[in-house]
Amino acid sequence: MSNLNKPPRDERELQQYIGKMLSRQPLRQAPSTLEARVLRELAVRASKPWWLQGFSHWPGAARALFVPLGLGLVQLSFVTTGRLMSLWQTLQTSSPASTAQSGLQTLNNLSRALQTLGGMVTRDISPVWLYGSVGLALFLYAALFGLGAAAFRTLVVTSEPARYST
Amino acid sequence: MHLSDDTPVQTPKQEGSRQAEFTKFMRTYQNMVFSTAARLSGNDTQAEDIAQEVFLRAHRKFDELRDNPRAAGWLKTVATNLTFTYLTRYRKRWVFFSQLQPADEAEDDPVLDFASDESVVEEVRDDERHDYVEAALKELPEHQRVPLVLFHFEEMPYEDIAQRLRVSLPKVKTDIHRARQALAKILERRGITADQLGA
Repeated sequence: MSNLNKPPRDERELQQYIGKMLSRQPLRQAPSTLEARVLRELAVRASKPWWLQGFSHWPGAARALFVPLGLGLVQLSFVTTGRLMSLWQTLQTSSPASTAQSGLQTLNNLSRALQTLGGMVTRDISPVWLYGSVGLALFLYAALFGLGAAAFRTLVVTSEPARYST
Repeated sequence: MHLSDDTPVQTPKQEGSRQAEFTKFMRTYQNMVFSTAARLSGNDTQAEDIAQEVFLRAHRKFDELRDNPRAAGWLKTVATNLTFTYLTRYRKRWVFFSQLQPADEAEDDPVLDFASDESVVEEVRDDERHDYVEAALKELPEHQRVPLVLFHFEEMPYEDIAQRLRVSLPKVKTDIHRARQALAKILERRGITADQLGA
C-alpha cells in the first residue's frame, strides 16, 4: 500500500506517467451555450445586407464593379485634396499678416491665462493643501490601479469548474 | 490544407439543409475544439469565444469541410492559432497581473521534490481524476502549460513547439519537464499517483 503513493522520480518515468495520464483524459465538454451562440451569430450575419458582409459574400457583379469604383474614389480623393490645398494656399497668401497676428494673439492670451492661474494657485492655496492634493491624487490613482488588478484577477483569471464529457 | 473563401449562393431549402448539416458537424467537433482552446488558454470563457470563432470560420468553408477527412485537423489548427493570438494579446497583462513571480525568476525554480511521507491514500474515481487533472493543468503557469499541452495533447514534437513558441529547444524541454513535475506534484497532493495508472 505504501508503494501506491510513490511518485515517479526520473525523467523518463515522469514523462511516461504524465503522458499516460493525459492520454486518458477525455475531451472537455463544450458549454451547452456554444451551439446556440454560433447559430445566433450566423443568423445575425446572414440578416445583414450584402454590402455589410465580407467581400467574399458580395454578388459577383458588385465585386467586379468594386475595383473600378474604388480606383475612381481614390482618384477623386486625390483631386479633392489638391483642390483643398490650393484653396488653403490662396487664403494664406491673401491675408498672411492677419492670420499670423491672430495666431500670436491666441497664444499670448493662453499664456497669460496660464500665468494667472499658476499665480492664484501658488499665492492663495497653502503648500500643505497643494501637496496634500497631489498626494491624494497619486493615492487614488494607485488605489484604482490596484482595484483594476484585483478585478482582473477575480473576474478574468479565476478558473471555472471543469466540465467533461463521459 | 488550403481552403478557398468563397461561399456559393444557395436557395432557402438548400440553405436550411446546409444549416442542419452544419449543426451536426458542430456537434461532432465542438468538444474537440473547445478542449484544445481551453487547455491551451487555461480560461474556459475565452475558450468558448475562440470555439465560436472557429465554427464561424468553419461555416464559411463548410462546403469544403463537411466531407473532408482533414476537417478535424483544420479545426484544431484554427483553434490553436486563435488561442495563440489570444495568448499573445493578453500575455503582457497576464504576466503583470497574474504571476506572482517574474518569468525569469520562474526559470530558476528549484526542482520540485516529490517525496511525500504523508500523502493521502485513497481510491480516486476516474471522473474525479479527470477533473483533478484538468484543474491541475489550469494551475500551471502559461509558459509551462502551453508547451505541455502541445506535446501531450497535440502531439507536436519538441522542435515544432520551439519554433511555434519562438523559444529555444532547451527551454521547451525544460518547461515541459517542469510542467510534468509540477503536474505530478499537484496530483500527488490529491492522492493521484503513477501506480494508480499502472505506470
